[in-house]
Parts: sequence; C-alpha cells; structure tokens
Amino acid sequence: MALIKEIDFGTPIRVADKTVTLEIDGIGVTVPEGTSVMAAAMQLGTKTPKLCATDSLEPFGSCRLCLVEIEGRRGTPASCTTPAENGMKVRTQSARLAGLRKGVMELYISDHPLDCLTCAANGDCELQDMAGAVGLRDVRYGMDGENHHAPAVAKAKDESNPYFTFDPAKCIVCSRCVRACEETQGTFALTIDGRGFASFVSPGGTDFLESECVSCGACVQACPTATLIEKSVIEKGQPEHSAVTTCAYCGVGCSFKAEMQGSEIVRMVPYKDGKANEGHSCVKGRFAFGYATHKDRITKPMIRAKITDPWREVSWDEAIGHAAAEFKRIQAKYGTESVGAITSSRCTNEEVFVVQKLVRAAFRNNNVDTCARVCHSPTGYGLSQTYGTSAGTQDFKSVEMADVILVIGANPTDGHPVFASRMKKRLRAGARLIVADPRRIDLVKSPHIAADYHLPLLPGTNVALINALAHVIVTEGLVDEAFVRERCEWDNFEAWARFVAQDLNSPEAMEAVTGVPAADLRAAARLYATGGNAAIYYGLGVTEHSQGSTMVMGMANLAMATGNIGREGVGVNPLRGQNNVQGSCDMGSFPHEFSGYRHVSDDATRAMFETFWGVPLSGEQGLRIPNMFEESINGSFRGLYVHGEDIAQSDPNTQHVQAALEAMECIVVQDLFLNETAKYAHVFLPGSSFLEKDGTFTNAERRISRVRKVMPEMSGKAEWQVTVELARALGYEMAYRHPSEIMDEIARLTPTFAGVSFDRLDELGSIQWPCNEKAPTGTPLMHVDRFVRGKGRFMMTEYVATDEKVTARFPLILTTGRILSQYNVGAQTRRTDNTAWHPEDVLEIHPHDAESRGIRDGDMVAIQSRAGETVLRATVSERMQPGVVYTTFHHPVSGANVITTDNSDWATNCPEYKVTAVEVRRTNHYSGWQERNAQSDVDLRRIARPLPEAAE
Amino acid sequence: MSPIPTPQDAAQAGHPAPRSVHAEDLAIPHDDAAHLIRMANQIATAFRLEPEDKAITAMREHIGKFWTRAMRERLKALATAAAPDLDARIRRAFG
Repeated sequence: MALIKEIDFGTPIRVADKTVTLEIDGIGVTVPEGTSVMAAAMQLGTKTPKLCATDSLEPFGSCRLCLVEIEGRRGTPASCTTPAENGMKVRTQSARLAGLRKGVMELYISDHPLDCLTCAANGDCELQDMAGAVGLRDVRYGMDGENHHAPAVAKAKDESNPYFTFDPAKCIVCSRCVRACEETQGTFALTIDGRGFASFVSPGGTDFLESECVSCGACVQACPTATLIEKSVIEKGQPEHSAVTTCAYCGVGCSFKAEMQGSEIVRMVPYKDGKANEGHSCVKGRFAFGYATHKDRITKPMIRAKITDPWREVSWDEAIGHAAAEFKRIQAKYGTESVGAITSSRCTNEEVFVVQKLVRAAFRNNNVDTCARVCHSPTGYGLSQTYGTSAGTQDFKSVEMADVILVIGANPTDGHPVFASRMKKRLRAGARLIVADPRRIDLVKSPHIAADYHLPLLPGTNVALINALAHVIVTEGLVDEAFVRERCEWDNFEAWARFVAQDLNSPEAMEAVTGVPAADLRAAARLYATGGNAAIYYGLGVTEHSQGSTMVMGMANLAMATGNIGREGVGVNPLRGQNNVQGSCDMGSFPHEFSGYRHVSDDATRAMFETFWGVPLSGEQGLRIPNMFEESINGSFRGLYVHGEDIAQSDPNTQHVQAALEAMECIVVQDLFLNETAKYAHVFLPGSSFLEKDGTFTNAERRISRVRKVMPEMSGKAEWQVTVELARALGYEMAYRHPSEIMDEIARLTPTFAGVSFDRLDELGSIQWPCNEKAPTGTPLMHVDRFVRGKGRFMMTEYVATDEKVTARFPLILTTGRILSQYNVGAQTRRTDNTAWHPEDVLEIHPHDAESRGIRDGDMVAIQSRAGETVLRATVSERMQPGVVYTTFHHPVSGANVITTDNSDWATNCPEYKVTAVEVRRTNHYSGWQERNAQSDVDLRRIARPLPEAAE
Repeated sequence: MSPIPTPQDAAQAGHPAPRSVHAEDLAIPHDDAAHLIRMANQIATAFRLEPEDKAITAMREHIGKFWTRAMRERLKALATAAAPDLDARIRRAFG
C-alpha cells in the first residue's frame, strides 16, 4: 500500500456548459470555461511551479512563481489568475521564466530557515519542492539580512492548539491558511496582520486556542510549509502509506485518508474525492482519533455473576459461551420474548446487519432496536408517511443550488460542521437564510453570515410554527398548485389546506404559543415560498419532541405545497446525529422492519428471509428501546445484548433506565470502553474502533462509503466475528469469511441495495441508495419524477402542546444539544485533547433568569425537573432567550439525562429530550444522583487482577 | 365536503383534550397501565381531526404496526374495561 497523493490542479475545477480549447507547450487541451491556465496545464499533467495556489482555494496570484508566457500577450501573467481562452498558446517553461522563478525563490529562501533535514515537513514541503523544481542552487542575497526567523527576531511558536503548531519563523505569508479559514471553513479566524515586510499571519491577535479557530485543520492542510503542521507529524515523522476510510463521528460521513506508519496512525487527512466532504474536515474527524489507542480501551473479554462483583478476564470462548448460556436460560425461563438487542449507529452496516440477524434468527424474536429510536425515528415515520421512504431527499452538494435555506432545530456549525461549511459558502454567495431555533445559534449571526429571519420559537412549539408558515403560504396564494396537482394526492392536500388556513393556525394566533413575532414569520414564509429553490435542513430539534413525527410531516407538507422537492437545491434533509444512523435504520434494526424498511408482518418479505436464513421468523414486531425498559421493570424482559451504545448515559430519565438495567439478569455489552451501561453488565465483549474495521457506513445523504481496516483489532477479533460466534453458540450458524460477504447478503435481500458490493464501492468511491438495476450508480436525488409512494401525501398536523408544562415550581424549559468539539456521550472525544475546548457540560442561562436567581457566571447550579436533579456550572449567555436554559450531555458526571423525562413522540416513542420543565438554583454540592453515580463508578467497574507473585 | 373539525369541535364531540399525566409535580409513579393509556391517548390525539371511522382505522393500523402483541393485549383489556382515562375513540377502536 502506498501513500495516496491527490492531484493538486492549483485552482478549483470549474463547472461550465461551454468549453475552451487552448495549446499548452504545444499540446492541445479542452477545459470548461473559467478554468485557469494553471489547472488546464495540470489536466495535461504539466505542473507549473506554484506556492500560493492550491485547488481547494480561489486563485490569489501573490507568489509570482506560476508565471507563464502567452503568445500575443505582454509580460508574464500568473497562470493561476489567468482564465484559459480559446486559441491561447501558452508556454510554461522558457529561459526567461526560469530566471524569474529562480529570482522569486531566492527571495523566499533568503528569509527561510535552512533546517530542512530536521524540519517536520521534510518530505512534504512545497517550498522545498519548488526550490528543487526551479533549480535553486544559491541565494545571491545571502541569509544574513533582515529576516523573520533568526532567534532574536522570530515570533514564538504557538503551541496552544493541542493538535497542531504554528511556527511564524517558517511562514512565507502566502495566505493559504487565511483563505482556507475563510473559503473552506468559513470561520474567518485568521488574518494577515501588519504591512509589507512586517506582515504576518495572526489568529486575530491572540493564540490559536483562545481565538475563533475551530481547529478544523483546513489551514494545516493548506499550508505549503512546516508553519502549520500536525503535532503528530512533528512527533512521529512522515507517514509511509495510507488508506481511504470514513469518519466515525457525525452523520456527514467525511472521507479521510488514514496516513500510517506501519499499523500506527500518524494523521487523518480529509480526502478530496470524498463526495460528502470534498476535502474538508472538522476537529473531531481530523484530529480526535486518539481514543482508538487510549489506555482505557478494554481488550479482553470479561464476565461476572453480579454487577457488584469485580470483572473477571476470561477467554473469548468462555465469554461467548457464558453469554449464550445465559440468554438460553433466560428464554427457557421467561419465554422467547424475554431477550433482545440494541444495534449501534456507530457501527458498520455489516455489524448492524448481523446483530439484527442474530435477534431474528437466533433469539427468534424481533426485539431489536437501534439508537435512531432516540434521535431520528420520527424522520423515518414522517417521511415515509408523506413521501414513501425514510431518508433525506438530497445529496449535500445540492445545497450549492439552494436559494433559500431553512434551518430548523439544527445547529450545523456544531453538530455537522463540515456540511455547515458548505452551507455557509452558499450563504456567502447570496443564498437567503431562515433559522428557526430557540437559541441564537452561530448561523444566526457570524462573520459574513446573517440570517434574514431568526424565528426564536419556544421549545415544544415546532408544529405551531410550521402550521403558521403553511397558513401564510396557503392563505396568501403561494402554493405551487401545478406541482401539487401533478405530484400529490389532491384530496389530502385540500383537507390539509383547509386545516392550515383556519385562523387558529395564523401567525398572529400562534404568536402567543411560539413567541415568534407574526410579521417575521409571515416574511419568512413568503421568502421560503417565493425565493427560488428552498431547502429545509433539520436536526434533533425537530424530532426529539412529543410531536416529532408530526413536525417531520409538517415540513414535508411545506416542501410539497411549494414544489420544493425533486430537484437540486430543494428538499427535506435530516442532519443525522451519528455516522451510521441512516445505515443502522436501513439494515433492519427496527423491531418492526427487515432491512429496506419492510414490515415483519409482510409474508412475502418474511418468506424470502426465512428461505435465505433457513429458519422460521416471527411476524410479530418486537420491543422498542423504551418498551424494553418498561418490560424489564414489569419483569418480562430479562436479557439484553447492547452493541456499541451507551444507553445508560444517552437515554432519557437516567434513573428509570438504571432501574430497568438493574432488573435484568444478563446484559452483554460490546464496546471499546467500560461505559456507563457496562456498569450494569454481566458480560463485556471488547469492541474495535473504526480504524480496526472493514465495512461500510451510510451517511445522512444515503451515501454508502467504505470503512477500511488500517490496524489490527486490539481484541484479536472483529466485532462481526464476535456476533457470528455468539449466534453460533446460540445454535444458529452464520458463515461469513469477510464483511464483504455480509454486504453481498444485504444486497440480495434488500431491493434498494441490490447493486451494492465492496467491489462496486471500490470502483465508484461511494454509492447513494437506492442502487439497483434502475439506478446502477446510485441515486443522489430522490422523488424526482414521482414520490417513492407514488403521489405525495399531505398529512394533518394539528399542534398539540406537550404534557411537559412549565409551572410555578418548574418555570424554565431545559433544552439539550451538542457542541462542536464533543460527540454524543463523549466516550470517544472525552478521551482526546478535544477536552481543551469543552472540559465539562455547562448550563447556559439568560442573564435575566440568572440575575433573578442570584446566579453568576461559573456558579454551581442545581437543575431540578420532575424526573430528577443534577448539578452543573452555569454560563450566563444572551444566546438563550429568557425562560429557556440549555445544556449538553457529553460528560457522564453531568447527568443531563437524569433530568430529562420519559415523555416521547406519539408515533415512535422518540424521547422528548428537547423540552423539560426545570427550576435552577445556586448550590454548593453535587446532587444525590451524582454522589451515588460517582460511587458506582468505583463499585461497578472493578476488574479483578491476579495477585502479584509473592517474593521468593 | 365537510369542513375540517377544529380542536374545539373535537372536544365538543366528546374526545377528551390532551391532559397532563403529571397530576402533581414530582409524581411520576411507574405504572404500566398509566403508561399505555398515555401512549394510546397521544396516538388518539394525533388523529383527532380525522372523522371517527378514518381515525379508528388509522389508530388500529398504527398500534397494530408498532406495538408488541403483549402491549396490544393489555390495551385491549384496558379498553374493554373502559378505563376512564382512556380516550373514547381508543376505547371504541380496541374495546
């Protein structure tokens, strides 16, 4: 395996209908109009020397190294800023050009330290390469003049960022980092300070860690020298081989090159050909991979009889045998339905598929659910009711064609940062923006981004808001009637239109409910309906409510009514939380569905699975996660196999979950770490990080991408193998030699995956399902000529207030979310240096609410709900509206879910994480739950170690 | 075509308005019946704008598709016993 090096065309590849043909060094080339001479030359494989140009950035024309000669033109224009034209005759090499370039390089090198042999970029330095390319042999000016690198004058290295250093002494001020921060990331944290010889790159007059920098790595990626470089490269040296794989963090599913030395990872570099990210990354995927080799990793199987016993390390055979014997015993005693499993949205499609297969074929019930239950299950329900399938309608690239972007209940800059960068790029190019969110999230106002309308609704009133938007569209005649007549069921539309047109749904009537000024709401509705291509992007702020499914249908209605579905730039797009939420749902993780969203009661589908798997299968849907907890407390559910999830931390009403887990007789946890759930487990099966896996992930665009193994499993076994062995021990044979064979089985059993295989993925890079005979290379856009269900169906979406009411005793609404640097329950990111940005969860509270309670910034505050109490530190913030407080759930000690309730979505039981009535008060000690939990961290996590041998 | 009923109409027609199960603050006794009743009532509320026959079909379909057999049997028992807190339409659909 070699180190993968992508071609750098120097300037972006343009897309244009017209092409131009020119001659470069006597060879003809045809390129899209707008392509630079430099990129045209590179199409021929001709490298023009360059320093300030790279194809992820717009041309800048500052280094003067890429000069060329063009017949009939005076002087030597820069090839990066000169567009190719028809009939042009270009020379990239001549004695005159060679002299000019050498002169430029002499100037650069006269102000650059000559420590190449001991420099971290040695072997990967464009300055070094250019010195070689132009044949630099000496520097006429010498090295002694005024410079930026001599010890006496050099600015100090900035090592504040945990992952990369900034060494101004090696900077050539090409501005690539500044431009990357602007153009690629959209944060504008970097600038060129000073003028002339005194100009230097600055993160806004402070150090990197204290600056606006989000540590996405775009500047490091863009830097042609060792000025901005990964600390891991400084420590280890250059990687020698790499493999393309898929990030295991959020639902964007970025492609990365895992750059390796042997089986040790040196760095993760975003892959330009990855269609989800197109060469961009965030602080998690780019840098936060250290958890994979963290000392907390458990690598040996363990068992124990009671959760209060210490863990005992055992062989794989003993652990798997014990787990199987326990599940058999429980089923014999309590019945077939008394055991089940939870699949993970952090694991591969292949792993998820074998876990649900184990449940259906070996447990012989359908008690399998996935963590999508607690995040995007309403998306599945809502979109399948209206459109006929459970997935987002667009690819990410579609945002480039959007004219109006409506963001509802999502915080992309924190939750889906790489997609947010693409969105912000489009916004800077002129798209209009509506943000509906209780908080003033970064998108509302940040450098060069401002929402046209921020609709700061009260948590829990989404449906009131969407109905009010629909009211304006219907009553002001903004419906795209031609689209609705052609593509949708007219009767349902009429009924819906009459319903939303009622006065009680008007913005004026709903203002009292949502808190959103009617005038703003009307203007936003008009903009959405008439502003051109309008696209909805939404997150868990939509789904995690008692009316989550209703809201998804409400958005789907809105897109149909305005004809904003079925082409580029429009659609209804869920931003999925975890890397493989889409995949885990597709793979048949729900208790009522086989892979491809087919109900277990469907005889034809079940017969096909029965034939293929060789066992009779149950046609009765099984338990959903919250139902598993209920049945555990009722006494009928006694055994659970938890694969790569931490339900004890992530699920709502922690004390209820803990009681349910404590009531079970056998819990098997397969994970990297002894997580919170493992405190209640009897068998621990060590898992593998994504770097140790072969398989596939499916991101929020339905894009299936390969995960490639770059290091051996620490535990000695692949996770799918462990599941297969557990099934075998339960008496059901599964015979796979490689995950690719699991995907082959998925393809045979699932019509939307019929054309997917590892070979096909290697060939195409990635595939968006459906992929079958009709769409052999996949489907970027859904519902183009017709909806999956035929005609689109408008659904009634009456607003019903949540049961979770604010009262005098609980006067504030708590809403929860995530932050950029941490991920979900934090099991991974807390074990990396990302804690530099977010060492603890805090409670954000508006200054008015804080003042009336005597709370100052940094105070410890108790947050009490009807479900429980926990204590966090307060941050007083005007991002909040009065009456609403906010926290994250990344740290187990915070117990954010001790206070969330077991209210849930009416259709899917997705928990209502986003609305909890609370009171907040100052305190000076942790809550009772926190004290007990701290003790259980010790008591329930002990591992028996063999006694040291006695001294002779 | 008949006009779409409003929530007020629905209330007049005898369907209870959604109510808080938190009778008192801090009191969420774990009670399976209360839990099932609450979930069923939420579903009834979601379909309350539909005419009764359509709503009953939709509720039966929904619960038939997503609830386990044991949960459905318990709901049937509650509906048959005319559990007072259970939505009238659910009682008619499952009783």
